[in-house]
Amino acid sequence: MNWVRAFLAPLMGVIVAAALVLWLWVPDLRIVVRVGLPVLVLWLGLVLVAAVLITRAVRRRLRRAEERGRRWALEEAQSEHRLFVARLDHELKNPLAALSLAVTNLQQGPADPATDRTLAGVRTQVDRLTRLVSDLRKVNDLSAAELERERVDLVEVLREVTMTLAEVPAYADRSVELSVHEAPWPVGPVDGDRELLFVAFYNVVLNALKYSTDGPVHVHARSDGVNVTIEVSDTGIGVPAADQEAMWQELSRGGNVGHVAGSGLGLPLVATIVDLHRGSVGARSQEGVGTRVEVSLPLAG
Amino acid sequence: MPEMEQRPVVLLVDDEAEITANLAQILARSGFDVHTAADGAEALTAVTTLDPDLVVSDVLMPGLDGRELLRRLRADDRWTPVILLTQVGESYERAAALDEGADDYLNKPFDPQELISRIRAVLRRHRQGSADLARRDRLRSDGLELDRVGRRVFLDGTEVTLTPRTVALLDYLMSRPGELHTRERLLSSVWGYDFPVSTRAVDHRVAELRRTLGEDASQPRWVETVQGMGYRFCGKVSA
Repeated sequence: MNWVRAFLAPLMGVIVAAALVLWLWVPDLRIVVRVGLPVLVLWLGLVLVAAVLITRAVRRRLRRAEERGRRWALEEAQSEHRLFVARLDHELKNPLAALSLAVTNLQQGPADPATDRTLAGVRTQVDRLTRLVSDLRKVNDLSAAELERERVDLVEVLREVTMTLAEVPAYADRSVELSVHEAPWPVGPVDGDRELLFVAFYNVVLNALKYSTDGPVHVHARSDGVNVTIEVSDTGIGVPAADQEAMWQELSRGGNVGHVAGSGLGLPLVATIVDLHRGSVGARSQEGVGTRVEVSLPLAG
Repeated sequence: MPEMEQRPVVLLVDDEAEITANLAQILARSGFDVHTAADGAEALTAVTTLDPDLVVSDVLMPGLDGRELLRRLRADDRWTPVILLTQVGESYERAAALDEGADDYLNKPFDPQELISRIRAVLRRHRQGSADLARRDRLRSDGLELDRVGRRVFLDGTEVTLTPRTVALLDYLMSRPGELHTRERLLSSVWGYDFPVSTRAVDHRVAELRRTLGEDASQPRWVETVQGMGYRFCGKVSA
């Protein structure tokens, strides 16, 4: 708004001064009316326009500053969180490595059924803890990761996901149905990291299988010419309304998951990967009826 | 006595006594003659007196750390193979470890069996004299040339375009010719992470490589599929 100050203000000053001089020096009322009044009206108009412009500019600046502040606070919180997880990870890895080696060492020692059983139990827990720490670290590392971008055919990735999950014995008898809408817009490629996109969709489809006992899982791909949207829906246990907001956060698990094993890191990983690809994720769920997760990614330019 | 009968001497370096004590016993059971050191300075002395066949060292240690130990060894022109046990910033550590002349690396906590198989692979590579390929800037094999510094690949003198990950995969395979690598192993070494990425990711990259190089999978000049096992670089590699 510097031009307002630099150009308009002096101009207005000059116009006002000229109007006053004319008014005072020329005694003829007609001239006062014919020249002075239009000048006055013009001047008032200019003042109004300037006021509106300045208010708008100030508002816009305030809004931007507020947005910057919010974003900065969010980034600050995220980086603090990352630092914390990195420290936690570092502090846990050495003791975990020592524990794990001690268990292996004992397991290789003289056999004794009771001890072996106990050791096998300790091994399971150590492995579980190790997996948790490393998964937490993965989500953390990813949020600051540099993507290896290339043209990725999402349908091909989805096909790989369904084939890979079909090979998991626990889901051998389940069906995952993949459908692709080719009209009116074909599902084109996206720009992204192929392996990470695989991880994201693998987790979404895995969740759908994990939290449903029967019924097919539907994977549907479509495009609107700008984005590709992948919908994954199941007829599973659903997510209780109270847990739906937290389901994208680390270590959060639904109140109804019971004994289904999981780390609470799958969906946060999905959200992080989609975010890195400038996409969006969302879920709609009805407890006891099913869940639909929707991932949208921008088409390659 | 045939050479096989001799127990390879391994020097284990870690400031955590719990780790060295347990790992030493596990490695000893697998046929290694194990010595331990509690930090980098102690390890430097031990390397001179023991002349081990291989060093397994932690990275983070008080005083002289694993990286510094590696740098000093290499600066002294000692090419004893080194496997680093890393634990921070996985992908960064991996690149740094290999760049600074480590022969392999493993993230903590690790499966001791995995460490043992890597120790054996590194020792084998050194015995065969192919270990220094990993330290060369350019590798050649039957019309295929890899510029490891510029990450560029040439086929009969003409540059070909490959995705960065495929170049990394080619680099890994080509600098370890004749060795069989499982898909899982390639994922953790080349990709550097152990996400539940399907091992198909490896097949996908090998397919890209073959397509670009015009290689026939049934009669490979460079990358051979070992049915049900993994991949092997079958061409003869020179620096």
